Order: sequence, then C-alpha cells, then structure tokens
Amino acid sequence: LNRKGQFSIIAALLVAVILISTVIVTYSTIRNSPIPDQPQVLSAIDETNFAIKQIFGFTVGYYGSVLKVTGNSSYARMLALNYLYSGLVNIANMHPEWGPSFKVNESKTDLHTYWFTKTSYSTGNLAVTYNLTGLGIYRITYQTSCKLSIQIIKTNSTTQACLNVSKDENEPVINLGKQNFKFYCYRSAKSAWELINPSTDPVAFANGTYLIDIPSGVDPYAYVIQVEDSRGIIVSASSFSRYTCTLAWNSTLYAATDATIVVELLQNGMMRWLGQNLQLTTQSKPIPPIPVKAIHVNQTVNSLNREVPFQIEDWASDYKIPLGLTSNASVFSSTNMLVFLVNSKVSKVTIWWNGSDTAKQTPYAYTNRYFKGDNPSAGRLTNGIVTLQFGSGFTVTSTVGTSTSTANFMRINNQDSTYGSGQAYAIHHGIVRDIVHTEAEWSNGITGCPNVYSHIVLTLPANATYYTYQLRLMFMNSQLDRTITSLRPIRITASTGSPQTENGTVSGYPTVSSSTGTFYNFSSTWQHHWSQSISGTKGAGIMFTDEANKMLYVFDSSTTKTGALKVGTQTIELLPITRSSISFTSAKDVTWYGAVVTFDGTTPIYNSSNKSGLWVTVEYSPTITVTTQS
Amino acid sequence: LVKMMRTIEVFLVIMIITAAFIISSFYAVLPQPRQVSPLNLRRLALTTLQTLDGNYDLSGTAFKSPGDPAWGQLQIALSACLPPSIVYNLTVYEVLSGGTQLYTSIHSISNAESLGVSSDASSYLVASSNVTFSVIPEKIGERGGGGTLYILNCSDANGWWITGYTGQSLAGDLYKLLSPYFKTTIMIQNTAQLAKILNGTSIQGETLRNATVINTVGEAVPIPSGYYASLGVGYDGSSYARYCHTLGQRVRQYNWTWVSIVGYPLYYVSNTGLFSNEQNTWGIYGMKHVGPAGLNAFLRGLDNQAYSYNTNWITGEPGVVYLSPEALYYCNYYGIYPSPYQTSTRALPDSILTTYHLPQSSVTYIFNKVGNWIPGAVYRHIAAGDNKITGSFFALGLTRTPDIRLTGLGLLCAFKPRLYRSEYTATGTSRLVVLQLGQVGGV
Repeated sequence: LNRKGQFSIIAALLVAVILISTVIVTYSTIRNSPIPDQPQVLSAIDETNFAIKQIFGFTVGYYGSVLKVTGNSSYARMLALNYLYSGLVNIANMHPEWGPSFKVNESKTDLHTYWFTKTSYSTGNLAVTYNLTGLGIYRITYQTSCKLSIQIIKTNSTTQACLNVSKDENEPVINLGKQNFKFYCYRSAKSAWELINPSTDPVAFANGTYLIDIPSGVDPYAYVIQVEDSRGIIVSASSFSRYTCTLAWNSTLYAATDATIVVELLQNGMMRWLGQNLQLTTQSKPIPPIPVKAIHVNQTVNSLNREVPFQIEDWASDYKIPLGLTSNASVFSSTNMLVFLVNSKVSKVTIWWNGSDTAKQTPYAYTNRYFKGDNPSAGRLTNGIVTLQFGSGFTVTSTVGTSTSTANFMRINNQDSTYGSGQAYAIHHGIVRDIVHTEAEWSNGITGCPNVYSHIVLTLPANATYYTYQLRLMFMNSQLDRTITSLRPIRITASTGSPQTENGTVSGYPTVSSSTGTFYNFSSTWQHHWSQSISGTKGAGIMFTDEANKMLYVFDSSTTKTGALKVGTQTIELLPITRSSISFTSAKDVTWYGAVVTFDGTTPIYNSSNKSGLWVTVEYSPTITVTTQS
Repeated sequence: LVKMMRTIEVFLVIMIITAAFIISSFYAVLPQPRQVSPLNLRRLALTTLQTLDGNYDLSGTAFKSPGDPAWGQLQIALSACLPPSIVYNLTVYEVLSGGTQLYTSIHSISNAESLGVSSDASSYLVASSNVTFSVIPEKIGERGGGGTLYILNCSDANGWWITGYTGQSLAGDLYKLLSPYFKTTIMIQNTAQLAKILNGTSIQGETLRNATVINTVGEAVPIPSGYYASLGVGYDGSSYARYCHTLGQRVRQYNWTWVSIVGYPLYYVSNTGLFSNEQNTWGIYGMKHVGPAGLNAFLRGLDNQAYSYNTNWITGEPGVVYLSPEALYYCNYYGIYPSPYQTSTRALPDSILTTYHLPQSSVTYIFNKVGNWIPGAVYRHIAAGDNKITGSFFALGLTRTPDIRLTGLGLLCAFKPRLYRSEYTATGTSRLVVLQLGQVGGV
C-alpha cells in the first residue's frame, strides 16, 4: 500500500514536471521565435511608381509650358523628355540603396496638347521599365497617364464663364480655386496678352463644372482661359476657334470693278488696307497667342467656301519695319500680321485654327503660287501680272502689258535721294505678296533740311496690277534750322496717256479733272485720292485712302495750304510741301501710304465710261463684321 | 492510518498537480498582438503621405519656410491621420546630385523625442510649383553678379545705319524684348548719364559691374562732352578714336558686355551739343566721323593695350551667313525666330581673337564663321595668364536694317537665363519628404 502511495506522488510529480516543461517550452517558443520582417518589395515598388507618376504629371505640365513659348512641338517634347529623365535621376537619388535604374519606352510615351478650342486638353502616356537592384527586383513595367481636360460650356451669361474640368479617366476636378484660372486679357497699350485671375473664387459643382466670373476687360463672347491644376498641367481653352469676317461691299460701285484688296490683320484684331484701318462694325477681336502653324484662312466666294492662300509676316517697331515671313514655329504676337487677299466676290473670310500641338502648317501658308518669276539678284519681282524692275537710285519701273510707270522716291528741296545700300528683299517668292524696303539718303545731307531719316517699304501683292508704298520720313529734333521748300515722297511717270485726277466728289463719285496742275486742299475740295494718266485701256497712276489723302496735307496750317498732288502730262507727284515752304526744328514722324497702279487692258483707277475702277477700293473699302465661333 | 495516509497522498498529488498548473500558468503568456501581427509602418507612412498630398497641400508646404503657419496645419493633419499609438517624424530634404552629400535637411516636425526601438519610414517626392506652372524667365544676374542692362537711349545722340528706326525707337523695342530677362534695365537718357556710368557711378543704385550696355545708335556711339571728349581721354588731337579706346578700357574695368547691333562698330561718335555743326556726310548732325580707327582703338582698350591711331579697315563682307547651331537651339528655347540667314557686310576677322586675347574657347558664335570672318559673336576678353573674363564685346556685323531679335537672341545665347525653372534636379525645385513612424504603448 505504501508503495502504491509513493507511486501516486511520483506520478503526480512527473505529470507536474512534464506539464510545466511543456508549457514553458511551448510558450517560450511562441514568444521567442523571431517573426520574420515583412518583405518591403511592395512598398518600394509603390513608392517608386508614385514618384514616377508625380514626375510625369509635371512633365506634361512642363510640355505645356514650353508650348506657350514655341510652336515647335518636337522641341517641346525633347525638352519635356529631358525633364522626365532628370526626374528619374532624382528618384534614383532618393533611394540609392535600392539601386534603381530606369528605361523609358519612348515609343509608348507620348505628350499631346489640344488647345485654344472649346474642348481642350493636355495629356500624356508613359511606359517605363525599371530595376531595383538593391532589392533584387528586376524589369518592373509601369505605365501611367495624366490628363487635364477643359470643356467650355455655352451659357447665356455675359458675366460668367462656365466650364467643366476633368482629369485622368474623366474624373471631375473639384478642388480648383480662382488661382487656378487665368483669363487672357489683351492690353492694347502694351500690345500684349496678360493672364489675369478672376477676382472671386469660382462656384464649383461635384461634376467638375465651374462658374467663373469674367474679369473686366475680357470679352465675354470670345474669351480664352488657362486652367492649371496642382500637378502643373496647363490647358488653354478658348470659347472660339474661328473668326468670321463678313464683308459688306458697295454692290453698285463694285459691280463693274475687278479689284483685289490686301488685308493686313494685326494682333489687336484691326485690319488695314493701304495703311488705313478698315471699318469694323463690331469690336475688334485680338488674335490669341496661337501657334502660327495652326492658322488657316477660308473664304466664301459665291457661296462656295474654300481655303485660300495667306501669309504671316514679321514686322518690327509697331508694324513699321518688315522683317520677313514668320517662322512656322512662332507663336502669334504683336510683331506678326496675317495677310490675305479679298475681292468683291468674297462675302466671308474665316480665320480658324487647328488646336493640336502636332498640327502641320497648311500649304496655303507657304506655297508660292504667284511669284515664281521673282529674281532678286536681277532686281526683279513679278506676280505674273505686273513686273517691278528696280534700277539704280531705287528707280522702280512697273510694267503691265506694254504700259509702264516709273517711280522715283524721296526728293526734298529739289535734291534727289541716293541709296548707299541696295534694297532689302524682306519677302520674295512670297505667298500673297513680296516686300522690299530701303533707306533713302542724301549725299552730304539735304540743303536746308538737316537731321532726317527715311524709310521706303514697297509691297507687291498677288492678283494685283499695283504695288503699294509706305514712305516714311523721320525728322529729328534739330538745333539747326530746317526749311523745306519742296517735299516729294514719290513721283510716277507713265509711259502713255493724259491726266485724270479726282478733284473733289459729288454724290459719292469723283469729280474728274483732266487738267494738269496742282491739286491741293482748297476749301471744301480736299478729295484728291487718285490721279492717273490714261490712254484707252492703258496707263498708270497712284491712289490712296482718306487717311493718306489727309496726310497729303500734314504740313498744311489753317492759313497755309502747301500740300498738293501735282499732275503733269504724264507725271504725278505727291507733294506734301510744295506751295509754301515750311520751317520747323522739332521731331516729326510722318508716313504716306498708297498704291501705284499700272494697267493695260486691266482695271484702271478710273473708267470714265462707267465710273468704275480701282478708285472704289480706296474710297469705298468694305466694312467688316467680325464674329467668333467655336 | 492507511485511510489517513491515502488521504494525505491524494492531498499531496492534488497539491503537486495544482502547483504544476500554477507554475505553468506563469509561463503560459501569449505574445503581444503587435508582435504576432505587426503594423506595417512603412505602408502606413506611404499612405499617410499620399493622403496629405491628395490636394497637393504637402507639396505646397514642403517649400514653405520653417516659420510658416502651414507647417502647423500639416502637423495637425498628420496627427489626425495616424492612430494615437504612433509617433512620427516628418522630415523634408533637399535632394542633391553630383556631390558627395546627397540630402540636406530642410525642416522636420515630430510628436516625440524618439521613435522607440522599432520604426519604419516611407519617402515621397514633391516638386515646387515654380517648376512648371508658368514661364517665368530667370533674371540675368540672379546667379552670379551683374544683371543690369543699360540701353543707350541718349536724346542728344543720333544714329546711323538703323534704317526705319531712330535710336530712341530702337531703344524702346529693345526694352520690351530684353527687360524681362535682366534684374534691372536702365535707359540711359542722355550722354551725361552715360558719363556717369563710365565714371563708375550707378544711376539708380543698380549693380554697375558685369552690366550689359547696348548701343542703339548703330554705327555711331554716344560721346559725353567734357571729360570724355577731352584731350587724352576722348580726343587725341585729331580723332575721337581716343574715346573708343577709353570705352574699351571701361568695358574691361567694369567687366561690361558692350553690344554693337549693326554695321561697323564705333564708326562715328555722336553728341548733338558737342558736334552741333558737324554731320556724318549724310545730313545727320551731331556726329563726327571716326572711321575704322574707333573699333581698333576700342579693342586695344579692351585688351589694355596702349592707344594708337590705326585706320585699318578690318571687317569683311562674307555675304549670306547662317545662324549657328547654338543660336538655332535657343531660337526654340526663347521663342525668338529671326530669319536663319542674314547678309553680313561688316564681319570681324578671326585674327582679333589672338591679337586682343579673345580666346576662341570663350566665344559664343551667333552666326557660323565664313572662312576667317565672324559675322556675329560674343567675344570675351581674358587677359594673358589670367582665367577670368574682363569685358565682353558682342558685335553683329550685319547690313542694315537691324533686327533686334538677333541682338536679343545673341545676348540670351551668351547669358542663357532659364526660361523654365525646369531641371527637376535643380536646387530648390524638388524635395524629398520622409515620414518615419514608430509605435508606442498598446498591446
């Protein structure tokens, strides 16, 4: 029995030992066994992918920034990709211990903008393969995209713009404030566009629609707005992408006149013809800073709408000095003008643009159709109808058929000008016109007229029997007395004919004088817009607009009428100073515009038989109504 | 007794078993849940950073000064994003490249002195809104000295070979084109003001050294009356070429960049008061003929050579010339597109590079060389045995009419101000945010 009792106790002790041991071992194992670190692969990949997406967002924004300066999208792409690569280098520097290396798949990477239209966007796609060598991760492929899209919504409000903003996967963007919206506002005094924020925060809706107050100075019917999101992506959207110019011609006067007018459209929306602004019945609409290559011009002729040739030119010094054709990589600015031709059959001109960054310039903007016979080295320009031959002393002989006219420029105080430097062909083999300019000089100066510079600009338009002139004199402040007894910016000598000169108007038609003599500002008869020498269907002459006619009298005073058109048998002289001498020492900058017409079977300046002729183009130029459409 | 012994034995067994259970229970302690299933601090940190930057607030704050209230708001948002048992340290670094030091700490916020024994971190890249949001030209002079542009708009000086322009209208156009790129632009309104800067005195407190001076009067150069027209300074007794020599010396002395925009540089001197009865043989009064001696004297002055009167005509007429590849590149960069070909009738010979210590390696070509002729370039003077620039000369030897876009392009090629604060790795444009998290308390 005693043994049995000892056995129970021993058994209990053994059970106790086993129990305790088992528990200790088990729980020690549980508590002390190391829990392996979770692998950081996913985090590293996530961090890297996120950084790449961040950088790509900025890359798309950067691409847009470059396109605000240049229209050269391949250059912008190159800069943007450089930017992307430098960003990837930056990521590598973030975690050198991961040993990151990246390879961009450029064939699957693209950047694209579509701007200055009602539906505009900036977008990009990126494909990149990378290794994180330090973590043993190789050939991770990551593809991402970024987009910011703007849709301008038509509204009847004249105080608010309505637009919808979305981003990747058409997700509405609802967190933009007034600082994210900038309206393009044209400042006439600076001839420049400025970006201005609305004064109040927009009303935002959950679907990404915003109502934004339009700042004063912005046309509520034709506005351009730039939206930028927090990724730096910018989009410039426009409520319009075309200007329609409806031309109103005097149908009676133009019925029998075949005339081409050269229209110069400036950045501020004004249109000029022979130095005078064409009358607009609506507010002028400045041209946004769109890439030059995107621009097209259409015309409606007899209800048929078609694209037509035009050219965009570079000018300096407030459109006074021609520089040449504009590079198609440029963005339209205050140094550019768009030039196109119209005639009385044209009822509508539409200027429109393709918003794509990759738009190709239309051949109508660069194809030479009319000036194939130009030969600057021989001093000759021709549009196929009229030929200009530049001779010594800048004598310009214009020939149409067998009619010729010879022009001499810039004679002051009976002293002819000389030309130390040959004429510069700013544009030859042009699209719708050629341009030549030069400086007239006076060897040893002009007796009695010191300190004067001159500048002559001639243009030869296509489809025309005339060339235009822009004759400028810049009189500097002079300490020496300056007395001008005669000033003759231009004289033309026709090969044939007898004179006819406008000598006032009656009922809107010229009163025609066949006399030789001096036509000046005589009482109510100041209209001397033209003069020609005509014989049958041949002849030559000059013509100019109202403003230029008034410039003929620029040196007149209330008592002294010195300016005149002097007409000889076959000569016509523009003489702002002739009847009395003028003295002044102050600075004066004056320009005379006009056109020299030569005709042989073509439209004369004035046709006595039916009172038609090119004269209507200077006295009754078309009025224009400009509207915008999207 | 036997029964009692049995009772005692059973009691002892119960005691032993009970004691065993009690002892075992001391060891039967489960590990803390966070040890068995720890919180992934790294992912939490990354998620938190993404949340904070959901509206790009983190990106904005990362570039603000440490004293900005935005940091306080960020800290509140950060605390709200994290469980109460988490301690954090958020540090913003500037990421450097190319040097030995990779990171520079900019600012840090934290809610504890230490993060405990275990912590983890995630990083997040943010970029400054200055990087891309807008085209804001860098001002010349922001990096390094200088940055002043003087445009000679002297009302008492006349110009020549500036067809279609007067000196004043040209000055206005140049101001529009170039002033956005310079820290300070000053129109020098008359020759008295020109004398002032030649004396080393600023007009409006601007930095005079390393300035750029554009001569707008073409082949002429304004000359102040008085000292600068005096014998031995501006006049050698028969020619005002002496003034051009002094001008060259001043360009060297102040390390200016002197810009001649068209024609034969320094061919006339002009001052309507000083030369009121003298003209340039073309009816423009206030001008005095100097001829080729002006340019020769200028270059000697620039090179610190003694004045000598040298009438050798040194320019040539290579004819049609073409923009250099570098200039073409910067046409796109700055959006300035002059015609890529021009006519040069006043190109400088490359012999001046050696004669006047204008080393080839430091020349910025605007037009390609044609034979030995350089139609347009920015020359930098580096004296023999020296390695620093002491004066520069930008000469466009083109025929009239001057195209100011070429002047602008040449200067931008020479100074290369950044138009876009673009390079992602450039200092100040991107920052690395590191959020380190630690866990304290709780089971």
